[in-house]
Amino acid sequence: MADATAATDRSLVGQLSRPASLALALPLVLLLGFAFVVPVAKLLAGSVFAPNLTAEHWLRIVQEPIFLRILLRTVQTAAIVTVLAFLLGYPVALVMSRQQGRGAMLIAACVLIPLWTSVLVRSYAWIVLLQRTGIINSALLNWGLIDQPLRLIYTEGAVIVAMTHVLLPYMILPIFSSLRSIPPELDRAARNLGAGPWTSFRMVTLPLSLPGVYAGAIMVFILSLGFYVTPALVGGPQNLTIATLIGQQTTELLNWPFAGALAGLLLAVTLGLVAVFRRVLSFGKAG
Amino acid sequence: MMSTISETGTAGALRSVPAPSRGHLSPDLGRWLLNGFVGLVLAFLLLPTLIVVPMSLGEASYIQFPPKGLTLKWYHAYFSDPDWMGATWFSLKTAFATAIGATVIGTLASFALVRGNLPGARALQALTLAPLIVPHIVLAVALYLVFAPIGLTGNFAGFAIANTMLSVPFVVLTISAALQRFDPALELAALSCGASRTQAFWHVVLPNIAPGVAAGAVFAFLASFDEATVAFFISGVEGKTITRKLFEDIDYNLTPVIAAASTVMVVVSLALMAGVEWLRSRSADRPVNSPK
Amino acid sequence: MSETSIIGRADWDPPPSAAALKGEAITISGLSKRFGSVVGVDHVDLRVEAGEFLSLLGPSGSGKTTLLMMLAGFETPSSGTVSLGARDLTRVPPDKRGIGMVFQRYALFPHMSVAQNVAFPLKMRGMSRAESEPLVEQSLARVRLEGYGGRMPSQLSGGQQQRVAVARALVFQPPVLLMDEPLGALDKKLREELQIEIKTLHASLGVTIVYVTHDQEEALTMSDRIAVMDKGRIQQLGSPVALYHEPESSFVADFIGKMNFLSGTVAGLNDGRIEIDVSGQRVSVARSQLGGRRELGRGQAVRVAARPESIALVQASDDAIPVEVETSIFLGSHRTLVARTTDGTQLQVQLPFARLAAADEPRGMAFLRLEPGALRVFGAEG
Repeated sequence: MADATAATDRSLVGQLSRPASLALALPLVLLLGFAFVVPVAKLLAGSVFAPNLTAEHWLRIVQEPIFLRILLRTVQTAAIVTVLAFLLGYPVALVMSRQQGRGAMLIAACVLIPLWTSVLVRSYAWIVLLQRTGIINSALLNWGLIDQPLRLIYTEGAVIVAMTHVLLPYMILPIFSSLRSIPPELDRAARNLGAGPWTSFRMVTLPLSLPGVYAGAIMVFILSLGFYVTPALVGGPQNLTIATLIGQQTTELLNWPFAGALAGLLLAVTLGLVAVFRRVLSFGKAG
Repeated sequence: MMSTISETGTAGALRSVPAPSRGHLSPDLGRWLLNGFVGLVLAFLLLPTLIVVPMSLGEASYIQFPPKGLTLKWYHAYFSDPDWMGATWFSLKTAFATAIGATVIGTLASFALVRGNLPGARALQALTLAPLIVPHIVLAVALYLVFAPIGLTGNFAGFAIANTMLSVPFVVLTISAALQRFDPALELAALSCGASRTQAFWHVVLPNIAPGVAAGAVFAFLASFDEATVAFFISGVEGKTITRKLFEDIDYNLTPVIAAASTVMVVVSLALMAGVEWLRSRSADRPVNSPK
Repeated sequence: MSETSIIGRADWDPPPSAAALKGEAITISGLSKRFGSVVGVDHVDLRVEAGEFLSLLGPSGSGKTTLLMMLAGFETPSSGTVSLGARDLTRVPPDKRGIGMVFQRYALFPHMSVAQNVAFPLKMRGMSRAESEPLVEQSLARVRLEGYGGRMPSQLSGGQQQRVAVARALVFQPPVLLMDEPLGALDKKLREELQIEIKTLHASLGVTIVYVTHDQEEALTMSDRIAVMDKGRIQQLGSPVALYHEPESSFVADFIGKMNFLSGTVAGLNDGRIEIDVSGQRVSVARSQLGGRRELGRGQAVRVAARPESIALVQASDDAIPVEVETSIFLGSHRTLVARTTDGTQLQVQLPFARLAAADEPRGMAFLRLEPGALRVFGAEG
């Protein structure tokens, strides 16, 4: 009797039976199993069974100073990009959250258009801007500000600027949605109680928007840690990051076990960060 | 510090709120500075994104700024080059297959995840989102490692599988959100009007989540079309995407044809993005789904 | 005495009793607010006396909230001025006005404890924790929430949150308290409780209160005076009694309390009195019962407004209004009869309970008489 009631309740809220649920989820499970779990597992397994169980490739990461340097530089670059994205992105999110109608649409377009444009196209744009005969050098030469083209591309600075540009929307959108969820009366209440605009922002708006800041910062940090395209194109071979190092190890040196160890490390750091900050993360490309 | 109570005339109200004397910028100047800064950041976001457009129209065969002369010859070169055309069609074809595959698989799974009775639903949910978090470079080399020995690199099937895996999270996210917003009372209402479960699904549930399904499909298409890292690794001489072709040419053959191809990519992305925004605004116009 | 105690960094001392908190008058003159081509508030003149409880009452979109926002400084007037006592507030930013405000949805800061919320305005005035603590306690005690300081707002019920909002708005002893539909989000029973509480606070503190509401019952219960607003203008300003019994327009008559409208024709004018035929009854009303002070001529159509309690059930008569009884509703203290006249107008009649045993509940045809002295008469168009 109790079962019958439970069954009716379930059908009332539109729930599916267990066999039906399994059948619906099966294609996804197969897809992820074949194209995600198995390849990643095989890559990681290759790093410790080569062919016998060994920690050699993992130890190499920390034993050779060059690799350690690359790792540190990757983390450092990711941290700088995250801080820059926050400093540039927060004001945009703030102004965007206070706009209505056309103004909000305009800002949203400026943020979403880059997000929806291929990373490759945007990285190419930075090459066009930064290379020896690029737009910035030409302009500076034309205006007589420099005599010789500056070396802009294939520098760490170029990677940081281009990655900040590419990842900025991932910072702006979570902060924006966090700011939008703050009732506007709170700022008014603070103003009414004697806080000036800046004090009200510092004591009410900023603390309440921190979940969005954390989400955006984690997102940008994780994405920059594992970013391949932009460092590969704008950073060149002199400015390896862990991602481009993985690429180099597989395509040029065919050192799969070592690439597997590097990938395992990157994966562990990424998943670790996600696990720690799981609560503040909300996924989705826009919005 | 406390001192004596002071009684004054009505003007005392002036002093009942001591003005902050920290000498801040006036609010108007502060707002002006903030808006100016935001304007600069927006320019930083937008200009490098769109700079490929003027670059693709310049006369010179090397990159020149400001571009001199106005020509469509780079577009002509792009559209008449079998290599570029092959890569473009290959990308469109795989993106289309990915959109269909990811939408079907993702829609079914969303129902199982939101409405279902699934053992380990949380684990499956986490696994579904994993391709969004795991760096593409890791997935790229892992896929190459598994696909190369079984002949799935450099061809349509391999790309369709890989890109479907990469874009299925977008579909599951948008459709799950639409399903969660959907008020189950509407389905109950349909049942109480005499509809069967199946009829209720086709006539009530599906029309209401259709914008979410369509948005998910567009996301999947774009995620596949714009994907560069995995494409770089699993492309072959024959089966090659537009992103891989761009990658190669940027490295070895930097001509304005790249700008023309990039512009084509931007146009495809923006047209689809406008479509999604339109769908989103349409579904937002229906407050009936979200009773307050 | 228009003297007032003040809170200032240097010359402030906790008042020995709450009585030190004195209200101040607000003078609004020629105040307008236009949003593009839409007029939100249209040339409003209003003086709120020191210590008065004044309600701004009106339907949504009537301009009452916009007017309040201009008092608080959140909207800049298109023209006109606002002053507090002798001080012109028109261009003063909200944080420098020193006016307390209670918001519709409480607007407590969710990341601060109750005590931190209440201490916020004191902190803004540069007061140290040690100085503000006793004041915060005192203010919480005033709204019967002593000991709740350590809680977070989300741990409180709606009614408690609103009381914290009141404590926060009063802790810095503002001369004026603005309240924007503060009870709108609460259920009826709690609302009535808090109405009494706010009224008591007002009486004991002497602060000037401007209270925005769309609930006419609430306005009648609480206010010294009510400004009924519509289309951005004050339609009528007066005491609850005056608004109830002497509405100046059919809008006010309709908005405040229950009102029946019947159409009538002027049958004669003599001696300062007006004879009106209303659906079969001839009533004689004084000129003072004419709303809107317009001139009337014989034969002119008018609207006659009668409260449910000024219509009586009578025996069949030539000088009474024949109606068809539709239903009767039991309302505890009385019974309301719903009836329809021959021209189709629906009337609500309040029958004293004692007069009506269940057995002789009227059915079918019945006759009603209006009590002439309690009627209001308006022109047919307004």
